[in-house]
Amino acid sequence: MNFSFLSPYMLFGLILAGIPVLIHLISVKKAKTLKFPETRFVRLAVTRTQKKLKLLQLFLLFLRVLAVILLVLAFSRVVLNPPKTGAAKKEEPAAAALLLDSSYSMDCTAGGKTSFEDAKESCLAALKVFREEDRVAFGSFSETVKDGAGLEFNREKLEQKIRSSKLTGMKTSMKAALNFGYTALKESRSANKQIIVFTDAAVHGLNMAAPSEIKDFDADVKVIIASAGVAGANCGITGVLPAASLPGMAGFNIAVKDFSGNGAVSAEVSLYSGGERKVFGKDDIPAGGVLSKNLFFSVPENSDLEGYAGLSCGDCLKADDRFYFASSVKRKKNVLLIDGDPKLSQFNSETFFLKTALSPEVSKDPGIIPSVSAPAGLLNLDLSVFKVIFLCNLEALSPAAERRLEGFMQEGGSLVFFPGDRVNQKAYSAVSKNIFPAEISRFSRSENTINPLTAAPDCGLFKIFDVFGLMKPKFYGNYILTPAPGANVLLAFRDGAPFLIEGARTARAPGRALVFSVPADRDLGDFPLKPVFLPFAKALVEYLSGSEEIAAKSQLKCGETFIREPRGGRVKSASVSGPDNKTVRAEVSDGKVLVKETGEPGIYKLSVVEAGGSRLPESFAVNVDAASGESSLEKYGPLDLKAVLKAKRVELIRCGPGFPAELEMIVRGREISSYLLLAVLCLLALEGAVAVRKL
Amino acid sequence: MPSIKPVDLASLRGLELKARAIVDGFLAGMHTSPLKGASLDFAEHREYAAGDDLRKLDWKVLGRKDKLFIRQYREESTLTANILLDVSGSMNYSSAGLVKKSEYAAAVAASLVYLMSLQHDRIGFLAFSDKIEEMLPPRASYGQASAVIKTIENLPSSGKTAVFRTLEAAGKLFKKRGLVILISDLYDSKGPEEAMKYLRYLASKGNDLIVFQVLDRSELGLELDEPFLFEGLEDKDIILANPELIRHEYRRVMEEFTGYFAKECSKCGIDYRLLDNTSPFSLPLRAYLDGREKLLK
Repeated sequence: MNFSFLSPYMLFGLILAGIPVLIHLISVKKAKTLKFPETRFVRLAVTRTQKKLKLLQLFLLFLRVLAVILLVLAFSRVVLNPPKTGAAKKEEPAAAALLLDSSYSMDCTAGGKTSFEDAKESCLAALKVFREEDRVAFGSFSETVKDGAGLEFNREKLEQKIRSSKLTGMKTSMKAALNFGYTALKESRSANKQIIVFTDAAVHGLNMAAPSEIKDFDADVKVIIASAGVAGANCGITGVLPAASLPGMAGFNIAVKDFSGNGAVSAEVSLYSGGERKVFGKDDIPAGGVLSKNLFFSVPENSDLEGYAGLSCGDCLKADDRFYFASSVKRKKNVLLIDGDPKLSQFNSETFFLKTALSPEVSKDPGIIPSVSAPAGLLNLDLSVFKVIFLCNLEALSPAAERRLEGFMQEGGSLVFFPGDRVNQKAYSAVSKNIFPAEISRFSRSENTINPLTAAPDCGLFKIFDVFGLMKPKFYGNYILTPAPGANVLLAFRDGAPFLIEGARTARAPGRALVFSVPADRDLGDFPLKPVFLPFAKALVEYLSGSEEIAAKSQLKCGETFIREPRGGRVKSASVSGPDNKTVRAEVSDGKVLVKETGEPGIYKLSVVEAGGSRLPESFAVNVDAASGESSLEKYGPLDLKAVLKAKRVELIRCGPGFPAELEMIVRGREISSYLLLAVLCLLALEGAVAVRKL
Repeated sequence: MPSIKPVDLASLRGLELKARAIVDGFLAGMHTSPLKGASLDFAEHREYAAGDDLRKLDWKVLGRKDKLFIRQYREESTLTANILLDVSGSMNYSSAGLVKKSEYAAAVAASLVYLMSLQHDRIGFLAFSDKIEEMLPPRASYGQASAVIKTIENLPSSGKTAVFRTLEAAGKLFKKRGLVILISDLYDSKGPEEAMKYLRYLASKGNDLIVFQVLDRSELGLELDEPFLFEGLEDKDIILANPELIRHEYRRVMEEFTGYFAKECSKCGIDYRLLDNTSPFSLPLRAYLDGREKLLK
């Protein structure tokens, strides 16, 4: 056995061992004289008692001195190390799995050093705690374990791996770390195994899995959490969304959250694009709450918009103070209204109600810009700038117009048909079903209302619009439509006649084609006069422009896979450049382009070469998932840890100067202070019992 | 009359009065009188011979058989009781609130003398320490009892205890066998074995022995609260001891000491009674009567 002391200065307390000796000396009393008949028997009793008493007093003295010594040793935190069994039998080698947390929360800076650097230093120090005959595994982890190395003796290799570990923008997954640790240690037969996790010990990391879910779980393996860094105050950007824009201006809504709940924090929020700060604003973040800040800046229309929102509030974690965004080129939802029956008075025109409903003043959506044109516009205008074309009471489609509309749909544009008294039923029968997915059978003049219960459940339109609002409009007549093969009736009247039909989408023509059975004006009903017409028209444009789908593709969390869906042309090759123009691997599978290496936050640019030639680079933004709670730096305690980790021995120690000694104590020996205190109590109890008996 | 207790002795003036009070209380407490009158026991008939006392003729036998027979009796005898009283220095001790051992022993001796006088026994008395201090040869008069009690009353307690020497002397002095009552703490300077040796010697001479070992209560239990320098009353020996510490061993030593006398006395038919200075006086008186009865059988 050998001992070491964690608080050796407490050994000065050994001087206190002299107190019982002092008490012993002071307790001698002066006695009075007593005349007694026979002292012979007293002398005999004294002689006999003295022998016992001497032993008893020595025993008491021993107990008291021992109690004081043990007390001092207990306060000195004496460590009992395992016995060394001599040179012939070497001490059993230990095995350890070192796991370094590289999640973005480890970027927390305190005292000029990040938690990650602190953890890395401790990880290197831990490597030295283990002897040559011990085997050590290493892995850097966030949501997954990266660059994991199984148990090995080569310290140089491990040291190199530790030093080359880098922070990612991903979250902490203790499950991934433990899985790696237990699996790595499985191959060792040592009875002295430990998983040492170097992490910020923040509450968000308590997402341990149940032992049954952890592969190769072994309760005998010690789990040591080395807590790095401090729980400093932190605010972070949880999201940047396009906001209602002004003409010629781009608007963004930036959500900033205070994760530490320390109180109101003054923050400066800026928008950067093209390498320069475009706009900034200052505001207070409510304690523990969210600041929603709208910022606008001018951008040329139809341009790519890439950049990031930056936060400056003097917090300790910078990784979540930047949120990247990449906006589509087609920033505005231009809508073309083809009026098949123009009138002198605009109030009598077919498109009057649609134009009014979609105008920015009424729709409150400056992104939607309606334009009205005569049927000739189908041949003259550049249709590619439009997202949706409404064809109202158009008599027929010329072949040239049909071809242009087909090309428009191939580019992802959508069509909406409103019939009217000028519609030539036969001409429409000849139109491609991709463009006009219905047959106009006849005209029915009967009073009718919409049955909301017939709404197609999977239709995206009814997810953004409450279909029960369409119960009020009354119709006095309608065209009887028959859906083309593959087309769906999205909504029907009470008598079962289709109200709205959507054509089947194809890879060749990804745009949507919708046909209403009523005109867009008030000829056959009061629908355009009803208030519900306004949100319905707006929702219809939202649904057809597909802006949400594009936004979801453009915004990823670190670690998520970017998927570019097939766009018609066969993908020959794809290349991606990540943040700092680093090349990122892209996979092409079934026409899809997959980008999996999205561990770092930033703007990723994807270049796709298709059979018909290369396309313009597409970009997407990758950000840290601050909203997941990873940005909350509040630390957990040993009890929290023991409640979730089911290992027999769980330790939580701090990284820092004392870390190697503490780790060595756990790995190689055991602090016996608590046992010593228990022994002191027993000794004092025994001393009391003996002393009372003596009396 | 209620029996008097040892603690009440101080309230009575004069040892004779105390003795009388003790004995009267003792007798009053008994259902039947234990006292027996002196009488002659019939032995046998013998034919009349010239010169015989005619008063001893058995007239009933003469009437029935017309022959002269003389009634013969056993020799008339009166019990001789000798009291040996220890007046050594060690008897001059009492713990707080109790009578001194010497006072208690004197009261016992005096009450025995008084009881003996009621029995018309011959009373002898011997007071001793390491030598014989006073001696009154056995006599059967009431005056003898008064003389003995007066002697006891005036005896000082001093000197060392030498029981063996007294017993040796008594063996030589007591020519006629009888009842010997020893009242002492038996702290013999030569040890209990020597005292026991002479007790056996005295018993072997045909005497019936009653030994009253009188000790103070604190001598038996060492019921003292603080450390003392114990100084011997006889030999001035000094020793420092804490009664609390040695009490256990001391009691064992005293048990060994008194147990030795009890065991050895029992072996040689000596009636041994341990009295402390709170024991009722009826104990020694009862013991005397029992011993007397045994002796006269």
